[in-house]
Amino acid sequence: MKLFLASLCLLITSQTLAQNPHQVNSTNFKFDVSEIERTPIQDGGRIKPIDTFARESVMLITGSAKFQSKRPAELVLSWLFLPDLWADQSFFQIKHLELKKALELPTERQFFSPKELTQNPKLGPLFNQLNELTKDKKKLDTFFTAVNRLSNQMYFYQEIISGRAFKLYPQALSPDWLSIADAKGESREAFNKIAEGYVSSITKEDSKYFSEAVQNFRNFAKTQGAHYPTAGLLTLEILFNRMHPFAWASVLCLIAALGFGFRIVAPHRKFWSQIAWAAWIGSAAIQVFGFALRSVLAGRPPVSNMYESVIWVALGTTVFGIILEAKYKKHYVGLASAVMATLALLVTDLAPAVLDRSIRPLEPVLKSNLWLTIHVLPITLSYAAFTLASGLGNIALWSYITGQSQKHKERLQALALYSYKSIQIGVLLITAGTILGGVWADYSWGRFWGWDPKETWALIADLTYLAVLHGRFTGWIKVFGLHAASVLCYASVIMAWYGVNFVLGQGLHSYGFGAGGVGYVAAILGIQVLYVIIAGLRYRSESK
Amino acid sequence: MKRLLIAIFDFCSSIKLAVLLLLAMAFVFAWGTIIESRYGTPEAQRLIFKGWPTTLLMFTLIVNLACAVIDRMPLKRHHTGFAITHLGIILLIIGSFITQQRGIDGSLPLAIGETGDAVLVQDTELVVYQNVDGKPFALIHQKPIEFAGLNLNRKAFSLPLVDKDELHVVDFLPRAQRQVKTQNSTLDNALPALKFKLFNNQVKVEEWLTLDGKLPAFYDLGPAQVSFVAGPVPIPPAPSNHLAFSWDPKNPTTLRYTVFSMRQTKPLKSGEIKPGQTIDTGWMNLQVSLEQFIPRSQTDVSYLLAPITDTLAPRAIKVRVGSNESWFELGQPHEIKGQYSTYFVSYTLRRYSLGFQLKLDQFKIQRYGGTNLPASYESSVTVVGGPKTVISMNEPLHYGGYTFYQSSYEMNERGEPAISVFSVNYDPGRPLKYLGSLAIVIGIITMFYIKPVWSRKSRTNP
Repeated sequence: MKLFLASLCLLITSQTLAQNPHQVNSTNFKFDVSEIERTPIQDGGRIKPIDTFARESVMLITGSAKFQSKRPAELVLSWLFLPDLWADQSFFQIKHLELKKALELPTERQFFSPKELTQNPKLGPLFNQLNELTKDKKKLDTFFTAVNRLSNQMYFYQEIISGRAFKLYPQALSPDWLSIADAKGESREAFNKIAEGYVSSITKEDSKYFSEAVQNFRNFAKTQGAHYPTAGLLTLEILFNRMHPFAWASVLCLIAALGFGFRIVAPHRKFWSQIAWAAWIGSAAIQVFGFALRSVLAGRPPVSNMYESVIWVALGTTVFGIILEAKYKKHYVGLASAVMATLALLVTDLAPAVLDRSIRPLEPVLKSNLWLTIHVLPITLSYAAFTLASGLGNIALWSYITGQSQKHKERLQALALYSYKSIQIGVLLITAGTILGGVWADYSWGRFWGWDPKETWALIADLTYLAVLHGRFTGWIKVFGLHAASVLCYASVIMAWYGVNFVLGQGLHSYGFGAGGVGYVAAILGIQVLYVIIAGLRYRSESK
Repeated sequence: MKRLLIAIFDFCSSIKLAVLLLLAMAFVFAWGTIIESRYGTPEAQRLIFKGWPTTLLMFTLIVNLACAVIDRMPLKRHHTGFAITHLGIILLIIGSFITQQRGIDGSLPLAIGETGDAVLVQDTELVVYQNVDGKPFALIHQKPIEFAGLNLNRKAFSLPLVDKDELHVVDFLPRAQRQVKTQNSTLDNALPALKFKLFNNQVKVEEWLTLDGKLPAFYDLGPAQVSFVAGPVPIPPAPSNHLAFSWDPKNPTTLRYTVFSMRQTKPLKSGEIKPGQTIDTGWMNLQVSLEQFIPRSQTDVSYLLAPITDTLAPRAIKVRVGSNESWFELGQPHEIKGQYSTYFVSYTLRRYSLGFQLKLDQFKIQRYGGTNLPASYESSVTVVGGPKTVISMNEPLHYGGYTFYQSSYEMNERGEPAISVFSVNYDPGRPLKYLGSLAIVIGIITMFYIKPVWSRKSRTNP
């Protein structure tokens, strides 16, 4: 079911690529695909620019944002128009070792070609087993999660090269857009012009033929249905894709963290904290901008999956940090906040496979925007407050580890106060959020509290921090205790935030479920526990 | 004596007890979620969240909170936030307790056009009838029964039946997986077994049918049935899509089939069939193939604990009457023979009658454009003798003290939405829970952010 096999491939291979079939991948000619990137497509329940669609497809199939340093849209077009040239190229990413073994593929390779996979005799039975499992609604283990990913990759590629994925025509009478594979007559003609433009542009090494054809196509498609999006919104989304606001914010946050750090080490250099503040405010502004932009594009506050909650926590940590730092002006809050926000933003960049950043439509039960916002925002914001407390605790414990707890007694007491304030903010928010979650559950499911893992773990985190706040009054928790607790109790936040969805994998909040990264998270928690133990031992030996 | 009482009160009102309680709750609830992820939600609910550990913790917490407030009597202004929060928690817990004791949280599945009044709740009950000459059953027992845990042998349930017959529940599985092993028997009087496959584009069913009673001899898909009979094939009482496999004891190694259709009373076709052969039935493109045929068979049915990933596995109990043992899956009643009589045993979800009837007029699903993802779904319903309305996600119906929420839906075999599932809720604890929640939040804000303002003011103008 290759859409353009007959017409295009032969044409191009005969004209320019006869000598070197890899020329498409290595030519010096820079294909300008900005027009097609700006063209709207219906995919995954949303109308989005092809740029977004291409980025998501390339990420899914090749496992990275860019492949062979091509723009994603260029790559996807090349798959569509020249599938034969790609049949032997290795670009399907398979990482799971057991799966490679099961398919008898060389385990040292990471990428495989369409031909290798479609002609693999072991694949059919595996996909059948996967179907049986999903039909019986069984949970997938890591092996079948990998099979599932491969099945999605191959399915998606097939949808692309057959043209079924390219739903480019709005329809007058249906909310479903028509794909180029289903298009007939005039509609099909309109797209064929793009294909011809593509060939002309490649053979004549000039993008203008293609760009003009795409423009004409858009003008045609616009007339087919009522809901063709405005160029403004599409351009905004492309801007958002390209700008990567959160990557910039993380760089600025890192500068802020270094600035505050240097200022603490060299207390008389006011210059460092000025730099830090400038970078920090800049980072906060970019984060707010990115967050607002994403809200506009998604049409809702972006707090429905792990990726979105991490950027929201980074923003919350930054804002709480700025408020507390402005009040106390001791640079420690600034350092803690900037470090934690940098880490959070880095995670979103480093683990794209675990933290899916594509904007997806919501499950029906989540569609009442007001309630979603009201119960999720305070809870995730409380994570931000606890994150800040954990950062402060880590900084304070360093003084104990380096044996300077007596020397810096006042500083440690001040840090304990900041931690305590952060935990207070967090407890208020998580209590309010958990209760509002109950109200929402009561409103839409008819029960206030059902011991669903997500709500139970929010309660556990709340109880843990409440124990810390009350422990201060019993005298069980003093300065060191508070620092140790703000680091250790953060484990309950990690569990409520990440563990429920990625480790337990049970319950009603399953629309946020994912997999991956468990080993890293467990290692970080282990290191944190070790850090507290070492600090405790050093503190004891120092106090004696 | 007085000193002892004071010591007890001091302990009950102490903040140390509070800290220990908070930590104990955190640990017990965390443990509960681990049990949930390993053994499933109902287990965790019965063992921890709705079992004695949570009840005990909540009771102790109420005592602790109440004593702590009493201890500070008469309350001063700076106690305001503290008192509001802690009384709020007490209200919330009492409200939840009332919900758990008196509330109903069940589900009501209705097919389009169906009228119903029975709400299924998660509690189970055991119903036993005496089977009198195969005539209407006489009810012997109908009471709630709950099992938790994986090993029942220590405290098995028993029930006296007719004469000296006794019923024992000897095993329980929170997620049962039936294992059927049918093989050749060496016994001369062994009866036959067959395995068929019923399939089209949407459906695929594979089942064993036996004549020895170990497994059913009849399979009902709804729009089509398959049966296995000894001797001549009876004509179905009403025209239906029915395929009968028939076996003649005089000619035990051959198997015949007869196909009936909705459209006529006479058989559509019939003939001999061998394993591997497929018959085109002509109903909805369904095909039936004979997978295996064992003229002299022996069937062993056993039950195992299904893995946690098998989310649809039902609960099951193993019942013993006299020397007979049999497994009963939830909602799959059948007969069991005792020494003195035959009994019909049913292990089912409990049903509550609403006291009025609800009719599902229509059910609609809206999808996100260009996908199969549901964007929203809604049911048009009529309360018989009452209002007509639409129930959708986040827009429930309140009627007769109950609240009806759109919960989920089920497809028919053609992939069309056919059954709408409502969750039905009656919650007398609701006002207390809301009042308590409000008090908690207001109290915390007062404590953390208003009290410091008061104390600052009182310091500046003494």
